[in-house]
Formats: sequence, C-alpha cells, structure tokens
Amino acid sequence: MHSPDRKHDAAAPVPHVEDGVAAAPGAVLPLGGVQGLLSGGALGTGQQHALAAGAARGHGNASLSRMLAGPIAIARMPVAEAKEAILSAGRGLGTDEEAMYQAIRDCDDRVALRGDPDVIAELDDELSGWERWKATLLLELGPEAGWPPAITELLAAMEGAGTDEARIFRALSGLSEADVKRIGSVGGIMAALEDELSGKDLEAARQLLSGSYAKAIAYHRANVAMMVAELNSWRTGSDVFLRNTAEWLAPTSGGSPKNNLYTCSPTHDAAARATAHGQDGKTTYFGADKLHPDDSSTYDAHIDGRSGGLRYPAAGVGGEHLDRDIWVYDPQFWGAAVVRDQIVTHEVKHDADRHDTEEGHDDAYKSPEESWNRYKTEFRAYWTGQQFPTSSNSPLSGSATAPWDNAKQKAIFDHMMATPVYAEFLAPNYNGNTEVDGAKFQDLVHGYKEPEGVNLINSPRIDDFFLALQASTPAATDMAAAPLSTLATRARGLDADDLAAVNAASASRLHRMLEDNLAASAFAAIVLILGGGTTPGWATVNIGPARRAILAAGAGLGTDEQAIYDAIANASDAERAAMRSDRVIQGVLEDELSGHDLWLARQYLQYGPRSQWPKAVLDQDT
Amino acid sequence: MTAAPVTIRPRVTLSADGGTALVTAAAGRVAAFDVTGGELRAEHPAEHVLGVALSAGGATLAVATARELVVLRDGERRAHRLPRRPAALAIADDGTRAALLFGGRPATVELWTLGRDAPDATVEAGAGGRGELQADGELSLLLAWLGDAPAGTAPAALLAGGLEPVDGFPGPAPTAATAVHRGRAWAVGPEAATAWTAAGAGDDIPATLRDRVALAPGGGHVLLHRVEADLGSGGARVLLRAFALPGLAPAGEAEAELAGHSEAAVAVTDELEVRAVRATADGAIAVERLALL
Repeated sequence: MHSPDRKHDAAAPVPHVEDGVAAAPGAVLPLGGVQGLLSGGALGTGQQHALAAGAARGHGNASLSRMLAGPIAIARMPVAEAKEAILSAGRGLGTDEEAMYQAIRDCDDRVALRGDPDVIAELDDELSGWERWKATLLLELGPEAGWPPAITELLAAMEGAGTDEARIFRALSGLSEADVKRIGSVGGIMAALEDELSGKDLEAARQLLSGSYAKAIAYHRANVAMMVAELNSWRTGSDVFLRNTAEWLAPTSGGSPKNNLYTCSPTHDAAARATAHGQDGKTTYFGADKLHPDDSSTYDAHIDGRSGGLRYPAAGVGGEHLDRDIWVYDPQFWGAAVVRDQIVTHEVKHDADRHDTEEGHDDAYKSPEESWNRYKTEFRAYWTGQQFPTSSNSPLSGSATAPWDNAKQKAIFDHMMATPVYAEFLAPNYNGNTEVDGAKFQDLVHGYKEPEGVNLINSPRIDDFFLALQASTPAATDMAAAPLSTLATRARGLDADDLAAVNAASASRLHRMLEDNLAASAFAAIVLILGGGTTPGWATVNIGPARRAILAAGAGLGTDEQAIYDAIANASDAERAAMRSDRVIQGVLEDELSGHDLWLARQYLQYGPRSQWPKAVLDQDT
Repeated sequence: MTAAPVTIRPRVTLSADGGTALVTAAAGRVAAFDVTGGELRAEHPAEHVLGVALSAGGATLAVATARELVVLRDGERRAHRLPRRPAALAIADDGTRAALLFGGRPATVELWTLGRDAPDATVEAGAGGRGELQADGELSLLLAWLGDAPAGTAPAALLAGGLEPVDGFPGPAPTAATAVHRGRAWAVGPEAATAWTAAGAGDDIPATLRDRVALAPGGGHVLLHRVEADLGSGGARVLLRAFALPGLAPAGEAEAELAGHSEAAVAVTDELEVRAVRATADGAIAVERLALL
C-alpha cells in the first residue's frame, strides 16, 4: 500500500514547467524574484517545490531561469547535470522526489539518462510505488503534457494520501488497447499497483493491464458500430420486413424506438465470470446498460463485479426479448446475415406481435395457457425470420406428413423441441397433451400451420394503429375526437405494405379487435380507410355488436336468454354464419345455456328470427 | 413472462453436386468442408458476411459483405467491389463469374465477369426483398427464389444462358423444392418432380410436395427423398428413390431412418451411396451413411 508519510505533491498531476510559465525569455531573476513568483501563485505546486528545492540546494540562477522560461527559450539540462541533480536529490535525510522528476523533465537526453546505471540505481533506492513509476514514465515518455490522459489519470489516482481504488479502476478501465501497449512498454506499473492494491483488486488490475479488458471494450464498440451500420442499411434496402425492423428500433425521424435495443458483448473473462456469478456453463455479456447506439458501456474488471449491464444467456442464444427490451449478443460472432435474418427480426417480432396482450400471457410460466402463447410468438418469429428459409423448409400444405401441415411448421417445432430453452415449456405440454381453453395442446400445435398475428411485418405504423385501437372502446362514436380521430389518423398513416398486411387473413386477431373495440359506425369508417375507399372483404361481416350483446347477456349473475336470442335473431345471414364459428360466442352459449335454451339459441343461429324457422323446427319447440 | 431467447443452430447446405458442405451460423465463421473426407476447404470470418454461396461443384466459395464479393478458391482469396448489397448470389465453379440477385419491385439478376466494371447481363426477375439463387457450375442455368415476409420466398424465375427467362417456369402448380445442376433445374410439385432445361419443362418423376432432390456429382443420377413417417423427437423414416439420367429409369430404392431430419442435408454419390450431412455445434460437419441403393 501507499505510504502516506512520503513527501509528494498534491494528487493533481504536476504541470510541466514548459507548459505554463510566462517569464520573459532569457530573464535572469534574483532569488527574491523567485520568492515573489512563488508567493504570487503563478506557478503550480510542483514547480514551486522544484524551484524551492533547487534554490535550497544552491542551483544557480541559470538553472532556475531554465525552470521558469517558456518552451522556446528554455535551455535543456545536459545529462551530466540532470544526473547530478537526481543524485543530489537523494542525498541526506529524506528524498526530494520533485527535484528528481524535474531533472528528468529537463534533461536534454532522456535516453542517455535512463541508460545510466547510477541514475537508475538512485531512483530504485530512493523511490518506490507510484513515485518510482512516475520517474519511469518521465524517463520513457517525457514531461506529463505528452502522456496519454489515461496514464495521467491513473497516476493521479495513485498519488496522494491513501489509495483511491475506485479512481484507479476507473482509470484502468479507461485504457485503450494503445494505452495498454504504451504502458506495457514503459513498465513498472504492476510494481506500482502492488504498492496500492492486493487480492482481487490486484488481480483485476492485472487483467486490465493485460489488454484483455481493453480488447473487450474495443470489441464492444465494434459490435455497436456493426449494429448501427446494419440498421442503416436495412432502412434503405428493398426488404420491407427489414426496413420496418430498422424503423422499429431506430426511427429515421429520431423519435423514440419501439424497443430498447442493447448490443451486448462478451466480457474478457466471459466464462469464468459466469461461473463466479453462479451461471455455470454460460457466457457473461456486458452492454445492457447502454441503449443503442451508445457504445460507451464498460464493466467492473473484478470478476465478481456486476456493473455494466451484465447478462448470462445460454450457449447458442443470439438474442433475447423481454417486455420493451431486446438484447443482441455478440453480433460480430454470428455475422451480419445471422444478425439480420435470425436474431434482430426475430426479437422485434416478439414485440410487434403484441403477444403480451394475448390470452395466456399473464398465466404462470410453463402453464398450458402461457406455453401456448409462448409457442405462438416463437413460431411467428422463427417463421418470419430466415432461419427456416422456404427453399429448404416448404410452407406448402402437404409438404409434411400428418398431423403436420407443412415442412416449415414441422422444422420449427422440431427446433424448439430440441432446444432446452423452449423444450422446458413446450415438451411437457405437447407430450402431456394438456388443455388450453378446452382445446388439446397437440391439436393447437398441429393446427398452427402458419403464423397469424396483429403485425407480421414488424411495422411500427401498424403498431401505432394497434395501440390506438387498443385504447378505443365501442362507446366512442365521434370520429372527430380521440380516440377515434387518433385511430383514423394512424389508419391513414399505413403504407401499401401495411395495408396489405392488416387486410390479410393472417391478421385475424386485429380484425377481431376492430370488431370488439369499435362501435358499428366507427368500424365502418375505419375499415373504409384500411380498404383504400372500399370495405375490405374480411370486414363485410361485423359480428362485434352481436358478440358484445351476447357477452353482456351472459355476464354477471344469471343469464338474459332473451337478449342472447335477440342478438342472434337480429343478425344477418352472413353474420350468423360467422357467429356459428366464433369461439367466443360459442363459449358463451355453452357456458350460459343448456337444454332447451341452448337448443333455441342454436336454432336462432341456424335460421334467424322465428318467422324464418322451418315448420319441422317449430314443431319441435314444444 | 420470462425472457424469450432466440437460439441459433448451425446450418448446413450442400453444393449442388452434394460433394461440399457449407456450414454457417457457427464458430464465428462460414466454412466449406469436403463431405467425403471432412476436410476444411475454405473459411471466412462471419462478421461482415451478408450472403454466401458454394459453386455447384463446390470448388469455389463466394462471400458477399457490405462492399465486397470475396471469392475463395484453391486456397486463394480474391475480393471484388460490389455495387450494392445483394439479396443472394451464385458463383461459377471456376470463380471467374458471379450472378447477383438484387431485391426490389422488380428484383433484378445481374451476371458479372469478376473484375469488370459493369455486368455482362441484367434481367428483371419477379419481385421481393428476399431471395435465393441456385445455379449450375457454369451459371448457364439460374433459378431465383423471391418473396417477402411473412410468406417468404418462392420460385420466381428460371434464367438460361445470358439471363434469358425460361417460359412457363415454374408452372401453375406450387413448388416445394428446387435444385440446379448440369443444365437441369429440378422443381418438385404436388404430382411430379420436373426437370427443366433452357428449352422448358422436360421429363418428370412422380413425386409429392414432401420430396426433395439431391443430385449425384457426375450428373448420372437424381435422388428423390421424402419423409414417409414421423418417428418423433425429430426423427423420420425417409423413402429414397434414385433414377438414372437421362431416361429417369429407376436405379434404386430404400427406406432409412434419419434422426434430426429437419437439420440434415441429404447427398448422393455417383455410386448411389446416400448420406446425411449435419453441422456440429463447433461448426464442422458430421456425415452419416444412410443407405447404398
């Protein structure tokens, strides 16, 4: 540890005399003039010490004038004189460290000086720890003004009474690879640090000075730069999916991204650190504390340190998504194509599909309901990415053996079942054939032959529309006021690709939401926008009002059977046809009605008002 | 919810002749291996790789980065400037020419003699932001897959000679798989696997949408393989049928069990040995003999 009783300057770096003294060139000042300058505060502490020491040791005015003169006028100190100054500074009781430093600074041939064994022996005898390292730095690098800032800061952290370990590690963590190389070429740093640190602190310092930490930081910056370049190229490319994904994460307009993207990189001790943190077999990544495109993340060099936004994904995991956050792990390792086709678009899909508002999302992990929700979002993400390209995994019906529909569906399922992070929730439910709202898990999986969802193309505009729709209710009817005015504006903001996506059959969940969340008049107005002036085919039948009426009739204690019958009877033929296959309506009927009441409801569904019932049916209603 | 991870599996694809395996998404590189001996033929760091292609004969590996097309052949590496990012690429066996597919509406295919300042030929070929290219060793027959998410790509154009579109391709029926080798482009439909040439649709073999095509290196045989039964845990019982060219006379048939079916690529030798090739976790390949027909 550092000895506080040594003589030294304050912790601040010592400014070199060449830097700031403004005495006239060649000025020869009397001693009193020196004292006047000292008391006047024109010189830094180090200079004051050096001048005072020089004067006290009887150095002549010539020497003092060199110390005071500016960089152009200064006459540098010959080697022999510098050597003598160093040896003199060590004589007698105590050591005048600053005089030694000053002699080195002023020496006109530092190479010769550091090659002089007497000088080195004197420095070794008289100085230790950071003071010895400072002398080495001066010998190797010259005056402080030419030092890399990180070295200056590191030395400053070691100077002074006690050890400012936090400052030392901040400084060490700030070393670039070039800094590390330069420090390594100078030597002496470890001896200095051994004076200041011990145990894990010293080991962490060794790691930092080995260059591995600096490499990890530099590598991380390259990882972030790669993500910036990739997102920029996607934004201007021809792939709609990629364009949308880039806009999702880094809007051209500069607004808030839909997701928080974090580029993460392995720590220099990635595997060992994971083990030290109780994450055996995993890899430690840092960077989850700085949002894209901020590349300034660092981490604690101590192996047990947890700063820097650490994450520990399992082997083979290229990215993760949770709530608003997306983490991409080591994009340079996976390569641009994998990052593009398999990681980023996949993770954005998890958010764009809004499965966090879909049935099952808030059930317990591994429960049938939550697992079905999770299976669907993974299926969508793998399907729309390029991990299972259609050229080798056909999506055509009939390209797989029953009960599977197509080869791509089967390949995605196989991948999930073979991968522990998915199998842990999928296998128990699939193999156990659990039930989700009365449906068998295997039937659901086999029937999910292609993805559906609110936003299969990762469009931020569709998401804006979705969010406005989510905030709408059937009670709103004024198209000129929020929330409907907002919804209409966002509908008009959809581009041609967006409109194709929201009008596709695969957007059935969005269609259901439009029916459920909008009054009939608002529904008609919005779908007209979505259809570009005509009502899209999927919207010609709107069973939202009937569904709401039936749900209301079945809510609470008791059931209003007549309200259910009326809702059905008043519907058109096409609406009743749609109602017959609507899971919500069928669920209410089966839950709330039985016996003759249920029979009646089914007749209404089949034939409409009683006036339209066949005589044979009427005859049965006795 | 707990975090939803995406796991990356190493992927293997074979050269058109089945003799060389390309492994991607593993070990921080793209790498080509000789299927018979397992030797590493060429590799390139994954970092900037946007697209990669093996030539039909497997002798040449081409890697597209943001700015360059890097051609690796016989231990040599040559880099050529790319005009812009391609959606897909194909490389000739001799490494001197490349075909580039640029996504768009319309998409375009360009044929380049590497080192020249302009393409030898350009043609519009369907539409889509994503694509794949399959080609024979001389780039005399090119097959482009095109499309967009979420549907993905589908066969869109067959180009012969100097990028002359082959009329009628791929026909009215859906196509589940294709393969191009030695002047023929095989397209698997619901009823048959059809051999297309520059002249149009040619001979065919009864097939289903489950069939996939593998071609023997010498061009003397075509293998159709399809899943007949799901054995669970990713395994499948596959039917292997070989036919002799040019007459497509049956040359052998067998059934085999194939573990990890979705992750395996199937190759056939001139001697009609059928092999399953997989990528290992460390980015190499594992080859399993399935049958000798």
